Amino acid sequence: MSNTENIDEIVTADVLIIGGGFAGLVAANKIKELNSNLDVLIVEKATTGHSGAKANKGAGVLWVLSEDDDADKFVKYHLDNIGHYLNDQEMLEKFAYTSRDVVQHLEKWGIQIMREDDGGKLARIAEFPLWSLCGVDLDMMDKLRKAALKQGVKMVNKTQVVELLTKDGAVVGAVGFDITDGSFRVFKAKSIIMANGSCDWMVTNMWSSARGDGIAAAYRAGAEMRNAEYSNFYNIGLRGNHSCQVGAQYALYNKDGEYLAAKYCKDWEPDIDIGIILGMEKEVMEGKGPIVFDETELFVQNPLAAGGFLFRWNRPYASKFWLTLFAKEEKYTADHSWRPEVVPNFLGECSPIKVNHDMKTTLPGLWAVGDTCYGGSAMAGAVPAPPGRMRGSGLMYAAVSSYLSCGSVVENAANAAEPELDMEQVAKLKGEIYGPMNREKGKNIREYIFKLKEAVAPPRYAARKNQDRIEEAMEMVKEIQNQLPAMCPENDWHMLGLYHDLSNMALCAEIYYTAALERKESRGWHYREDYPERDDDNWLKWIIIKSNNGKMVTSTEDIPMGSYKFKP
Amino acid sequence: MHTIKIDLEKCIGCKKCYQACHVDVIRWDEKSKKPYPKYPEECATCNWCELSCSVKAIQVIPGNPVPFPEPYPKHAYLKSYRKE
Repeated sequence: MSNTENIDEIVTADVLIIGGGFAGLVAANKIKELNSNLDVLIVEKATTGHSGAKANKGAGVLWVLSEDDDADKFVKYHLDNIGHYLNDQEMLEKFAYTSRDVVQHLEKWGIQIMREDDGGKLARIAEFPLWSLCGVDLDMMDKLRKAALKQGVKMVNKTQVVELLTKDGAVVGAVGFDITDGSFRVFKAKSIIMANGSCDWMVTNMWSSARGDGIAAAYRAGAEMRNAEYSNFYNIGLRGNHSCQVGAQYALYNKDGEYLAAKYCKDWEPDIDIGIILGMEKEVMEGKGPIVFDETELFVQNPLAAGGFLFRWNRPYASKFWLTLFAKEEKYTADHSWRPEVVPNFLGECSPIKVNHDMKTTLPGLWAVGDTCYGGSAMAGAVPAPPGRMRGSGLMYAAVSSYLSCGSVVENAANAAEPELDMEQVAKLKGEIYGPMNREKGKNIREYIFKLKEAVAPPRYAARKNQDRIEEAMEMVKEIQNQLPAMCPENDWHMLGLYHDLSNMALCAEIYYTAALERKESRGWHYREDYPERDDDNWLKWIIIKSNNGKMVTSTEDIPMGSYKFKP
Repeated sequence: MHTIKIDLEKCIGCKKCYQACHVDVIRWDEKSKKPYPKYPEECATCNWCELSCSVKAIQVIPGNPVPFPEPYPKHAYLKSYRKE
């Protein structure tokens, strides 16, 4: 019999949103607009409105299909050049059309989106012929947080949710702990929205808060994952400070002075493709490294050159953010040599929670939005997402997915019976969450986080895959998982948080490599040296991964190509 | 490792840096009512703590180089391209 005497107060809400970043805040505001009587609670690991890996730490660009853009042309281009027919075409089209409504709604909540001088049309970067890329300032989450507070949304901060609670197959709550004092937290709700981001394995600095908490918790609760093999996004970064040089693929040279874009890039690409990453690694393997970067050529042929659009509009917060960042790089970390060395800079972007067009996961009571499920929605197809080779689409997907989830979230929260918690389950999970704190000494958690980075980030595992190398990487991941019981959080709540982060990130890596091993073809960002061709006869399928009583089970689902508008 | 410097003389205890940190680097000391950088190992150098401070009491100094998994692990390649 488990001990339930020490279970603290149960916090109840109609809607529980796990994650107080951009997606969670859009959902909270929209739900309150639809039904102001519902109790909406956000639980956040950091502080609501300041959290999330990217929304207030990115370029402040928002993808929109404006009224001038043709949705069919956009979808066809995406299928042929980005998603390679692994897309849910209906979801892609729905995303594109909904982006128009979302822009207006964001403006209603006080978010400034850059328009032409007369205040009419959305201002856009002209080089993107099929969609618009708009500017937005980096105080957007602050504005959404204030709007949410005004509407009566409640917020619990500094609380790390570790597991979901289930009853009769439905999700009914969540448990976690306060990272400052270790207090146990139990939440119960009719509708639960997972909004706490992708898994980026803490490799690249700025993305390091995306640790797959929600993906891992949803998987353990039984939710299906889809397109997890596309978790290997890269950009190009300077060796040393690893700052990403967006657009640098058109300004790279090998040791012999050969221009790499001529060999590995198309004349025009909407964003970085895997070809240049494979190319950089090939050059190095052939002894033609290091690869260097000529910044003076960054703006040639390149709609996304770093800095090219950052300062086009007057955005007080974005300007402050970027100018400070650049000044610090200049003073402390920049490689000032002419043509500095660059390397493939792993970002990751594992976002595989499977959702339908209303953002319902495969578990009743659980929805997923934002970076937890951009890949799992299958909207992006054969590319890690965000950004899915469409800059600004991460932010827009966060908004669109939250927007689309709200109808069914509200309906369920307004009509469903009050859920009951399984207190035996609560007690069991409490024991598992705090279990590592009983260890007086053990292995260093941060060292193993670094070992996990070494298993996911090098291009030989993440870009140039083959069966042997995937299995080699998987072995490294399993070894880390095997060592988890020997790790010690040093009687520190922050370290207990890192312990669970490591466990979650290792699980995400296992899901990702399991899917990568399964897909025996090459398509988009999934490149297999042992299966170098795209195989439409056998692989117009999504790979589905789920937990069946703790065992990882893989299956495939045929893409309903017959009902789609465009065929390969 | 990155360094976070807090000038406690200047600090007015507004808690904004503590709230701005998205990776739990900065903690709040209830006794002194001031922040302190408890876990700089996890700093993402986003600078939002510094940018949120109205009295310029906090400064993030990025370390260089940042710890990063080697993109081309030597054991895996026949030709090591770096001559060391």
